[in-house]
Amino acid sequence: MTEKTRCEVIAQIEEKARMMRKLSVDMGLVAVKAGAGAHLGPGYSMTDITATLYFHIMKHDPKNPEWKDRDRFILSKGHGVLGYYPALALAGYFPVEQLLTFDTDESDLVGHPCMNLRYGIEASTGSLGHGLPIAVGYALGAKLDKMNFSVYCLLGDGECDEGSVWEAVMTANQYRLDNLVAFVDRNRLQSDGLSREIIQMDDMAEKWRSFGWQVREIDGHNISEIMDALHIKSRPVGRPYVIIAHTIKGKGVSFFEDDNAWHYGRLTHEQAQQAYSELGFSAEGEEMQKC
Amino acid sequence: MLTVNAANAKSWSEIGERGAFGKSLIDVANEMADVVVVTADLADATKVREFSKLFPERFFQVGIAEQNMVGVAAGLALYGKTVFATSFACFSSMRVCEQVRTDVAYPKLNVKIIGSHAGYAMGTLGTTHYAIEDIAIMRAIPNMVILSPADGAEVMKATFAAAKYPGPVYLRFTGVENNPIVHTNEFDFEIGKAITLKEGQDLTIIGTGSLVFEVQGAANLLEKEGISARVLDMHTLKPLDLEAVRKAASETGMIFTAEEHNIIGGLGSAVAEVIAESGSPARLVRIGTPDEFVHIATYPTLLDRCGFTSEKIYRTIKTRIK
Repeated sequence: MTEKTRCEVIAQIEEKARMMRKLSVDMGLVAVKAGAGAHLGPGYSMTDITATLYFHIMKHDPKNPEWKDRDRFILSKGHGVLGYYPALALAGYFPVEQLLTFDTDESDLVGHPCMNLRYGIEASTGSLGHGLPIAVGYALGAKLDKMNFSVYCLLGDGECDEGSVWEAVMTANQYRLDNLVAFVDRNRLQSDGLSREIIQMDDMAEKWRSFGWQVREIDGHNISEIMDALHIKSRPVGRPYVIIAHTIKGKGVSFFEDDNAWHYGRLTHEQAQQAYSELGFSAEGEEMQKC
Repeated sequence: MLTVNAANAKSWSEIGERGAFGKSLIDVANEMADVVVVTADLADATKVREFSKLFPERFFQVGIAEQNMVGVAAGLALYGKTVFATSFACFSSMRVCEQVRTDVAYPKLNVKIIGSHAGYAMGTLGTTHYAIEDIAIMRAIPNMVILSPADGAEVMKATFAAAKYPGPVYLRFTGVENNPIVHTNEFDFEIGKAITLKEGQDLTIIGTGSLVFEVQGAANLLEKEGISARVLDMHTLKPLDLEAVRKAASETGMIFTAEEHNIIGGLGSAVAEVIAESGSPARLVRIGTPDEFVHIATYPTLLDRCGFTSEKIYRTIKTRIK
């Protein structure tokens, strides 16, 4: 890949991520109408990762969601749907307009993912500590049948409080699952506040390393670093791989950032207008005319 | 599939329900290439060691990590495997309840949860290892099929039926080695269809698991006194054979249930629900373990204290029909 092409790729992913964040605001507004809030902060902290996976890294075909060789993505931090559904929609699993059914009666797009292959949703998650064991099972099945796909699993850093995460971490090491890549969205906040004041998880990288995983720490909002971390030459052979992505909860809209009120919050019309404008859209969420 | 005859029944009895499961699983695995096994450091105790030797690549040991075991089973099933996840009934139903409900039952995955040593089979190993709550727990989970075989032959049939059923199944194994034999001849086993072991007009005794043999004995004692008792082997607790229960209620007017499980939430409760809602005037007496943490004792002593022998079930019935 030439440097120019790489820059173009990065710009393209960044554009998808910008669009995903905008669509999340749309969904947040829809949720308010349905009497609910939305996990905007947790979605925004992982958006650059899912954008890079779905629009550059993963081998998948939205027109053939049951394709056996597809890479699998399992959202272990199931509350991160705002950083997930928009990627699936933009990738073509379902029309973007479908996102506006979010959290409404009869919608297939609810607050935590409900397994639906047609929509590209591989597993039902939301109860924390469940996704990584499922991903390990998937990776074991792939190894057994000598399939070449990768299994990607995204966890929250607060989620790593769950003991079952570490059970799965040990199994992945035992079976040398080099077809498994985990991300830890290290935004350092969880439902009740600052993670370090709840359960101190530093040194997060050392914890995974001592369990036998290859570890890489990156800026989870730097597309270039995400791409490098996922490059085939960065992938270990014979052991599982975790990417600790240092992120900012709510990244992308100034008043969401590092404010845990947006762990699960209800947007006002004015807040949505500001969010749209910070993301480069008109106050009504329309694309601005490019000069 | 292995055949049911007196010789096989005897050898299955010697190795108990879990032993019979281990043997059946080999047969199932030979027939179905997609069958895999996951266990949580209980390969010997749940009798899947032989499977692990014959099919090492299809066997996954996750260590003492039951929650992970069920999650891994779900992942393997999502990928396309037919998965047997084995542990003691106490852990399979309680330690991993949420994983069973959310990871397996909710997406209706092809995972068979094995609960061995259900009821009081652990004897003096104690209450931590008893499972008298598992049927109640599993019954409350949508999509879950619950099989509770009465002897080795039924374990074999149930294991095959579970493997071929495309969805979540909880297999509950009761008793210990040298368990009683109910079946010595071929019989039809269908998920959700009770087996009538004995016809009768005066009353019906419905047993499940370890107590099927005992209720048969009680029925024979009643027969000697001219009391004609129908005996139903309720090997499937969910979906329950509603027709068999309604028929028993209307034709015999009185039903006794017997299970090595808490009197709350198991077979007796399931039958009570059917009778109450059918508007039947039939009477019901539930025989089960008391709703308490009993004083730990040997398995035979606990069975006796709970009134689970043929003689004691017979006496309970005699008292209640007066």
